[in-house]
Amino acid sequence: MAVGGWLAVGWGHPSRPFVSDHDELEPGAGAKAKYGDLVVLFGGRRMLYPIILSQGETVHVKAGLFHHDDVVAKPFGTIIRSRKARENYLHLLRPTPELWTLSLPHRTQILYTPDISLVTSKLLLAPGSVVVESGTGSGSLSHALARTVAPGGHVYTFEFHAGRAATATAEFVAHSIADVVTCTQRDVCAHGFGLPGIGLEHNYADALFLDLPAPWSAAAAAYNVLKCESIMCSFSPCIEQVQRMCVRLRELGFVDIHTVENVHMPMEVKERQLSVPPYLAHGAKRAGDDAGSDDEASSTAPKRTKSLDGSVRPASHWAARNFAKIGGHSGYLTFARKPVDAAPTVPADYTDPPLAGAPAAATTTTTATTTTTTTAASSAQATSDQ
Amino acid sequence: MESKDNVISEGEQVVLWSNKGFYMIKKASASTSLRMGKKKNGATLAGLVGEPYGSMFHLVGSEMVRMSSVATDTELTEISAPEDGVIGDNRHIKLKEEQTMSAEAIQAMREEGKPVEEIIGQLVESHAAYDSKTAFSQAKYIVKKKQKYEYVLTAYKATAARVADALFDRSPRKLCFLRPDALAYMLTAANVRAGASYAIVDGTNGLLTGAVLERCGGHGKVVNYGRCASPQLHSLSIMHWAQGGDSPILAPLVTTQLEALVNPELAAELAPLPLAEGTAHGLLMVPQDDPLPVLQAIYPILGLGEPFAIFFSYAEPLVACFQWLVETDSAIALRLSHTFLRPQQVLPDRTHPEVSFHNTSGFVLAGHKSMPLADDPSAPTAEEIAAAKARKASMRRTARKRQRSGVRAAAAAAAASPAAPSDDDGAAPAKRAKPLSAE
Repeated sequence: MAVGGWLAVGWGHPSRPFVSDHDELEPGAGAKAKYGDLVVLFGGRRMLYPIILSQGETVHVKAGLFHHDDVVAKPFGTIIRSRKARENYLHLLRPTPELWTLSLPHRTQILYTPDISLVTSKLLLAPGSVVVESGTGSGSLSHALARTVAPGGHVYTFEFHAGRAATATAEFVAHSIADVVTCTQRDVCAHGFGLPGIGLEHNYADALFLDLPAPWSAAAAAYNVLKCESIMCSFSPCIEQVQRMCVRLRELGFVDIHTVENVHMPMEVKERQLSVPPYLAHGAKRAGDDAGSDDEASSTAPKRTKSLDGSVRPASHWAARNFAKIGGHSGYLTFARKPVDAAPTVPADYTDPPLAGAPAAATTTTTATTTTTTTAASSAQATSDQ
Repeated sequence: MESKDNVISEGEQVVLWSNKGFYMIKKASASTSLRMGKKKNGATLAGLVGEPYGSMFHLVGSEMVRMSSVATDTELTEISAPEDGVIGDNRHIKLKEEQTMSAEAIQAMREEGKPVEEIIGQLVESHAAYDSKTAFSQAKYIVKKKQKYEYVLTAYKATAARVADALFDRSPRKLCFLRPDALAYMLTAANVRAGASYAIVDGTNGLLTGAVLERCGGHGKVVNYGRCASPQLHSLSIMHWAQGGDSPILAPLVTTQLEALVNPELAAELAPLPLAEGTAHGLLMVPQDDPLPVLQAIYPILGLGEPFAIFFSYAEPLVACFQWLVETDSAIALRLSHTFLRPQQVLPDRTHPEVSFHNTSGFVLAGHKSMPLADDPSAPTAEEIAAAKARKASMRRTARKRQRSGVRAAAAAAAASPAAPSDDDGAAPAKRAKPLSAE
């Protein structure tokens, strides 16, 4: 069915259309969109439209009305035009996790590509890695992780919100990455990752990522699910969360604990007109007057001016500067390593000691009452995932 | 329990983090001697062989001996704010260095092979101002002295990310100043994954090629377009999976020459070329040379719609690439960016950004190759565009007309029924109606 997926190279490869676990490469050139494909129509930074192509369908966006039938059989990278207003167009792109991050339907705050890059790299991910994530949120990071750990690896992602977990699972199926990503509905702060029967075994994961409001209440569970000599990362927007998390990580015996703030600085690149004031121009002539021949001084040729020393100054420059206003803070990324000679799990009778000012106790007590129902739900979820 | 892959074997290249605050890449072998400052300290790396990766080693006599790697830096973190809230201050601090122990005496203790704890104990005892320090600065003093007199190495497996950290720390120039987080951004921006084909211009002696190969996991095609017939791939050979020379992860690697893309004679000599025009699923460049001509030569290899990422340590040459891509209308989603990566000191009640850190990531230009508008076979003709313009203009006229007639109708309605539905707003339409009815 669906083609054009995240991990795809062998689009349309009959056995596994999305995950490329074979060495035969499909040609990159001339790859064409088909019905059932997820594609991205691109019109700009804030004009990205992911659509699943189906016969007779249309998509109505700012740039106009576009017919799915016009997209089918077009090679990626080409131009799709609106039928009514043919001067309006969008570019057709094969989705990548990065394009998905920019175009996905937000159910939560999401992780963006600069943070995702750093996490993927610092967690030492590669094909074959087993990585655990909580919460799933809108699935922005999950897609990127799936892309990197396939083939042979797996992403186990946990989300405590039933609706979000269901939507994410449906998305992974629609994007044909359900064999690489498993989404389970569970509150890992209350129940951990390793409930017998429906969870992960201790010392199972090569890497782990937490994006939780109270990550410290999942830290012991994280310790247990990680292999020794594996790295975890916790993402928190507030420094108070980081501070509590670091205290807990040290208590548990994590090492190499370090926190960074990763601010991505996009730059504005533009052609700017820079004039030389007439009184500073060579011979105080007007621009274009001294161009040499009359042909060059035609109105279409770019105007040039000589400065006082006689050197020719172009009338315009391409230049870059930082954007005046940016997303200056996403969150702090805290990395920690479970040491190679650490105890494989926390002691069986371990309970989290209280943290200064942390609202962790509230989370545990409220969820304790609903334990049985949640477990049943997660169990059903896990079974349906098999 | 530990698989053999996770154990350091004889002669393997290992990434070492020294407690002095720097990285090294060395062979785990009895023939590798260590230095402390400028002097050899007599130790070798023989002690690493057979131990698992991630282990820590310290100098005992003249041997590196494995030690516990669990929680070694607790001095600073164990100090929390005192319960009465009084942190202490420096009003009684003594201004002169009050260490009475001579450098010779310290050296003598070290040469006797006394344990570091004992040396530090002596230092504290003979430090007249120690007691006047706050608890926090006492702890800092001990941490500093430990760092000075201890020699501890952590041995990491040479994965691409670790090698990038170590090489950038040792000799960033050899990587064209590609900071590890910029490399990480390139790998995602160019959607590097298993099973795809990548065109690479690698000015990092093979680090970039190695990082891409690692993410491909042995599936796909990674083509290194070298400056010459035998490209430098030294950094690639450090990767733990490349050290045997026959790893499946190395299988996708093909090396060729950039020149073959512009020189038909060389192309014929090297035929068949590994990637045909428009077949690469991604392009990654960290050029040693001016990026623009290199980009112009290699850009045709990249498939339509596929992503690319170009790194340079200065912005201006990338601005030139940006300009070319815009003027030839051959890329979309173009973005030039750099990263401000700020490490934080996180300690109970003492959290703040680190005082000094590396300030420039270099610049990455990323985007997707696209079809120029001029090449679009479905482009509207000049007549169509003119017709569209006319249609739009007529739509605007109709809209204006409708608006006007709407106002007129409203005025007529107002005139026809002077006792309008509501008395309070009856005055306003009457006012507007006047000039219109006078027309």
